[in-house]
Amino acid sequence: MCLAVPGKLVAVADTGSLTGRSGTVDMQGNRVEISLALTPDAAVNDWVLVHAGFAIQTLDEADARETWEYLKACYGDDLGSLQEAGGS
Amino acid sequence: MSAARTQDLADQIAELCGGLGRVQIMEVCGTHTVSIFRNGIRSLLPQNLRLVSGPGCPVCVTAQRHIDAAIELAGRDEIIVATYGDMVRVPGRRGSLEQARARGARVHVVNSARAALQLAQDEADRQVVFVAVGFETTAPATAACTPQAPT
Repeated sequence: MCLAVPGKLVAVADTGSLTGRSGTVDMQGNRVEISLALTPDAAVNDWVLVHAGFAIQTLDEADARETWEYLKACYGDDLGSLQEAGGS
Repeated sequence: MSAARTQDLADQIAELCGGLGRVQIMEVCGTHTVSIFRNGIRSLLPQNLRLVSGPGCPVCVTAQRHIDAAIELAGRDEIIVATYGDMVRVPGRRGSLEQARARGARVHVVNSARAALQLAQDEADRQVVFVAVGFETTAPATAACTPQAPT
């Protein structure tokens, strides 16, 4: 799955990840553990773009919500598979 | 997807294209091209909409010899091959990693380079080979994991 998906950072930990700083993002109610190694400034309540287990950039809430609207329109009830899909 | 939803989407596409001239859309991914042909999607599209096959992404244009090499490694007793879910379906000369796994090869699907790293820690008596082919956006994640990889 070649998609990056927005999520809201709900927790940040300085350790606990093999790649340094880690975080928990909320994606439409699903909690996902990610690495924050590539977004050192990301803080709780920030929106981040998650790709292959890493936050790759922060983005503003309006962009994040708009992206989710598109994803919902495309995937409908199949959103769960979108978050679980093991893609590059 | 249900037949009703498929028809609904086809109707929406036809409506959107209705006021336009000739519309051309490039498929950015080889899996799009395959899905479009396999599911007969062209037959549902309006006359003025043309789909053009694009160059393919780094995953589906992976050279067959790289897939063959990964399959060969996965067949060895001391090795586990870890890779992304889309990579396991790309065919080499002797099938895909997914097919090799069905024949008993050790192939693990991971959704992140970190998961491959974790697998390497958990499986200390085997070597984990991470087939890191992915989009440009996966390269930094792979790089971030490399210093932690067991040697």
